[in-house]
Amino acid sequence: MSAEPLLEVSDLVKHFPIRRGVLFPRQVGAVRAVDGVSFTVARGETLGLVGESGSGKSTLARVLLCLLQATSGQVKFEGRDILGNGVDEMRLLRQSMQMVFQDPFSSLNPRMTAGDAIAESLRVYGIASGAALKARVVDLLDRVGLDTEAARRFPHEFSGGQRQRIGIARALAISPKLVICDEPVSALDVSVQAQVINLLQDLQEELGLTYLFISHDLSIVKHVSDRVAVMYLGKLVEIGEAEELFRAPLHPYTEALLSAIPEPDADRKRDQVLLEGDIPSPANPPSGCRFHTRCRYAMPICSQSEPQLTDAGGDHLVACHLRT
Amino acid sequence: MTTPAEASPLIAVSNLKIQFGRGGSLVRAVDGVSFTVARGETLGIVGESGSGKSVTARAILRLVQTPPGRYAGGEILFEGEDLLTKSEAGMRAIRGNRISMIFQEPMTSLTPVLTVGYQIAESLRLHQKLSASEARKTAVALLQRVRIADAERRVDEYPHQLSGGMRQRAMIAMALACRPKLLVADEPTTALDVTIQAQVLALLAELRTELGMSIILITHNFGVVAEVADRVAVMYAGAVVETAPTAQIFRDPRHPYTKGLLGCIPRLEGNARRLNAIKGSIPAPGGLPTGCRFHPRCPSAMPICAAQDPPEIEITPGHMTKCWLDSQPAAEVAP
Repeated sequence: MSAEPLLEVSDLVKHFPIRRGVLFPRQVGAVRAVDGVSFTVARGETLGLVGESGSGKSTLARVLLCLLQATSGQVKFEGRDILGNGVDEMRLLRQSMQMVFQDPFSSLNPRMTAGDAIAESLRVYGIASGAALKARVVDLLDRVGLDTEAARRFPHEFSGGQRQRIGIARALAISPKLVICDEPVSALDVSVQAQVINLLQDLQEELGLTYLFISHDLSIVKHVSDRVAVMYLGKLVEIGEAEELFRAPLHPYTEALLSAIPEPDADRKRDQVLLEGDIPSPANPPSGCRFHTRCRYAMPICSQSEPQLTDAGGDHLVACHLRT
Repeated sequence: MTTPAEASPLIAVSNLKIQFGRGGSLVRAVDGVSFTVARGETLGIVGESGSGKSVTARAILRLVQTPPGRYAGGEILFEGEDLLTKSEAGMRAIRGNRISMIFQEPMTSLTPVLTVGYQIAESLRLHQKLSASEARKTAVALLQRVRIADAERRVDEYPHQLSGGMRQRAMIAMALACRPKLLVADEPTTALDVTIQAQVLALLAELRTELGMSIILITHNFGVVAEVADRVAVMYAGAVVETAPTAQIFRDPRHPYTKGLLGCIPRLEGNARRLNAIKGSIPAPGGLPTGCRFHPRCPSAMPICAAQDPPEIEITPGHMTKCWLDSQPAAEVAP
């Protein structure tokens, strides 16, 4: 995990402007979806990213792939800054960065057969054609556990789990180095979720993939990740080795999040930390520490100054005044 | 916890069958489902999509549209009366009054054009004949009860002005306005974040004790069941395959499908590197396998499983399963 990280994100910001006025629209504010996020992803590791809806995880994923333009900050992929890239450079770069989307129903073109969907990127990049292309598609289908015959079928002929397998085959077609999985199993049934997670793990081992795994399901994130980052209202509040973070969470938000998960075990009764209220609006985040309005340990300083992400030992970083 | 349901169950569903379409496109969405819920008890019904759990829930309030749906058999005895033979007017007097329902997506099940307060007051005015001002006062009190801050103001707001968690609380307030005997909750927390889910589950548990009502909680999440249910029924492809007290189902799951489902879930504790996935996927309700519905996906399927539907047998009091592994004499000898 040493050497140069595959992906290095520093102080990344994405604000969506709020405009008022019809004739002369002016900006009256901004939704601070991602507000100064820094982290690294090492080659071959899985970084889990968790947070509630509205925490900015999906926006972050889209900014990393330049599907949304960042407001400021820096993203380095293999040491090169990619945010300044032009369209052509970005197209080349997407060969190394691919995404698996949440909803396999809306992310596949209903008029394209599974085979065509998988072959599309191979064609676009001129990687393969003719018989070689066919062979590659068959190989990909086989890797994700689908029959060769599936290539001729359309998305509506598949179940949700199978569709997600096609989505994965499509992402892997051009042999990317980094795969960003945005809630890849949330839309699937429990018994199918496990199949897809096992598949993602097998593929990682075989192909040496690096994953950024986004999910709101903490038990799944813990299962797949080497390290986990916790996001709240556009900020990273804690990041650390998965086992360690789940065993001894340092940030009160992580603690509350963990205690909120209903565990399938009737014998385990625990002290629940119930959070009060909802996640505040990212258009108007609380001052100081963004979590202080819901934090049970909040102190006067929390509403005044913003805690910085600092190392609490063993590469376990936390942004909380309690820990500094 | 395990109240003897035989005493006098609040609701007893027996051999319920609901079908859609006919001829070649006949779909047996619910195919012989039976269960009971005692007074004050919470029954969790767990199943994946297509298991028939939501159709069962709707059937209790006779909300399955007919056509295309058809009640093809069985009965639903609620306090001794069969709901399936009741008149539409008779059902209207029960819905929202003695039996209430909360749905998964509060945004689509609340009317966007009426205020939250009006929607809560509606059932009070209809069933309890309260005046508009009394109903409004009660609505405010109910919103306070489900811990919506600033209830006085919220009562005049529209659903889109509330957050997801607040909308679900408003739904709960609406469902409980007439102090129902039975609450049917269909995936009440699935659309919510974990922290909000925890709040809503805690609130439901509290209100159950306070009102002494029974709850049928439909969910796909075993974690939610462990948290709030007294008893669990596991559904697969239109049938209940296992029923047991909650603690029992986690300690000693008997049906291979239940075992499979529990094996699929990654745990916070423990670090199995691989999950025990169930192979294949849920059969389309139009094309149910012969014999035991689960046999094509079952790791311990035997020849008899494809030929004959297994009978329901009781393993320990209150713990029923439908599986040939437990029905055969040989299986009983094994420890």
